[in-house]
Amino acid sequence: MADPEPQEDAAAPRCANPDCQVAVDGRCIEGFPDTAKCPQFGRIPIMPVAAAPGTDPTARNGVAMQASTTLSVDEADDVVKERPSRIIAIAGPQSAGKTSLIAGLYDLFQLGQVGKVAFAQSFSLHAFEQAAHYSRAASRRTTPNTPRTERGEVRFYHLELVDTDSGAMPSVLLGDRAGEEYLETRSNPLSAKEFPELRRADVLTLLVDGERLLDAGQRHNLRSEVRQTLHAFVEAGVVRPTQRLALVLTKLDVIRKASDGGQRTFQGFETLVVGLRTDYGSNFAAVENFQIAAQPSTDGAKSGENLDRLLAYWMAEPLRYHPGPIAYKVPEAERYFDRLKPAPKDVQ
Amino acid sequence: MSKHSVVAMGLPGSGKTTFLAALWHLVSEKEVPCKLTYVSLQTENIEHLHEIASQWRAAKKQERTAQGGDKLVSMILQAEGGDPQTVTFPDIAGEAFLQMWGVRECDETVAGWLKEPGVLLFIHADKVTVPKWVVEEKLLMEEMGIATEDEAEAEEVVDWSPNVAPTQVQLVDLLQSMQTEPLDVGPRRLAIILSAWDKAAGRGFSPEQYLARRMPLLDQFLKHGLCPDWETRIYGVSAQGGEYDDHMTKLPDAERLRDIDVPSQRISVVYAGAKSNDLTEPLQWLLT
Repeated sequence: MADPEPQEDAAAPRCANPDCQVAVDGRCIEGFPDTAKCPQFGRIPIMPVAAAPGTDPTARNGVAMQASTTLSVDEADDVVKERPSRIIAIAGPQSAGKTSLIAGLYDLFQLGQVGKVAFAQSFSLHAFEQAAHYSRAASRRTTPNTPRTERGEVRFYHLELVDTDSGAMPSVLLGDRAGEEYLETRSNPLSAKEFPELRRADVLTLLVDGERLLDAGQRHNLRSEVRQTLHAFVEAGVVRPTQRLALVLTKLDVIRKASDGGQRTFQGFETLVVGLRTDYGSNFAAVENFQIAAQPSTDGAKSGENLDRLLAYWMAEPLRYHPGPIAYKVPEAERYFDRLKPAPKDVQ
Repeated sequence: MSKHSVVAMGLPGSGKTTFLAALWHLVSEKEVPCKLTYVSLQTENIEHLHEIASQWRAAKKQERTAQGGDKLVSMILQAEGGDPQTVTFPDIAGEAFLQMWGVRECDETVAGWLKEPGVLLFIHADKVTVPKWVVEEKLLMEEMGIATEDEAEAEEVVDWSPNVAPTQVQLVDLLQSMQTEPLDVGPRRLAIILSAWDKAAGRGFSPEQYLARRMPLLDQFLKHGLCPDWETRIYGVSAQGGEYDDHMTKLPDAERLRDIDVPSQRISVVYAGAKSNDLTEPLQWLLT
């Protein structure tokens, strides 16, 4: 006997969205943790109308919207030409927290202004959301995570922000590149010349991985990596005296959880900052240091702790070269004939 | 007679169709005074209006508007002492807006409608997906003494898709799209409709305060990112007045609403501290 036709279980959960598998796995495709709150839940599925015979069901008559990704160097250039901007290079070895810093800052704007800075708009919302996703509860992870940046050309996350005090409204372009590429400049400083974000940066932000600085087995190597990376940038000539340098200790929450409350790590960072300031400070317009927890994994720090200070440093008016008028002096001609000038009009 | 169009935007389930159903009942039945009065109907989709208004009167939830089944309805409305105006109101499925955010594409017909100068943006006040963080939930569970699973033991991790983005991010992107090519048409009026306002009103906030607290990114965008030549108003609207029956369950709230003799009195519109039953109020502002 043939199997009977499967009957729809009237008691099974259903959803108006035919792509939702709530009846199978209990998960709402639109992300509602409580499926009953989803407006589509419990409704009859709306099935797409079958394509007419002879037509291509994939053909669409669509209008393309602007992309919502990170920007290429050329696209970032277009933004810079159009409006005041701040280019921020964020350098550091892999896992130092570059993407976490970017995602953590974006997530702060989800909750309101960051210090005196407000969100205006962004061309990179998809990219920000992807960077922030694995630290969000919607990912169903139990520990926060950030996607690794792949090797390749630098990409810029775009934010248009407002300084609510001054009214300045610059585009902020946050450069994101794989950490390994920055680390390799230690062996080949000239490779830093290929990184346009370094030459163009208003603020060079160098990250110091707090978790590694805490680790007795890694801290000396880490300090050496940071020093040598900065040395390579200076040697390659990609830093400018109008640039500001931000030295940023990351993962503050992990450091504070150490048995000594992170005292030795904070001292180690202090020593590193003093050394770098002494040796390389003259190459920059200013050097500041920060201790941050962009996306903490413990209760050792608040989410985004001290990012407001770092953002204020990034937002400061850039110290760019403003050419003045060139003094012009007419050379004294050797021949008397060449020294003749037109007669003033009133003499004629 | 002047012709104006208003486009209604909003994610799925944000209350666009319910608003249209209640509006049609309100202007056609003339049970309560309104800023705009109904003159006549100009539409090929009169059946659609009758159908959704009938569901509304019976206090039954509206079926979802199917994508591709977008309906364009036109009514001739008139303000007191003014000329009759044709108001065109496309009832677009919320999926069209999800597609704009997620796939970065918009149907050509919908794109045409989205170039209208008057925009109603619907947000279901009680169904806002807000961002929540792994670490906060973990700490909360620890505080409550609930053991958290290790990553390996945890349920399968959900990869990113545009649909999991917070409501405010999707709405900021939609509004950004409306002020950039190919949808940019210059100055517009934007009426934000916080629907199901009856559920949010109990918290004692004005619609502006509620939006600022619940969707701070959208609030910042409206203040700083929206083109300065756009004008914005935020309305709290309860077009249903309470919870309606779905096709499976009968609810006491729906029974209570059916008991109200004048169905138009189910409607409530809150703006600038004043409350009325007049759904034409935001329309009138968009049309002037």
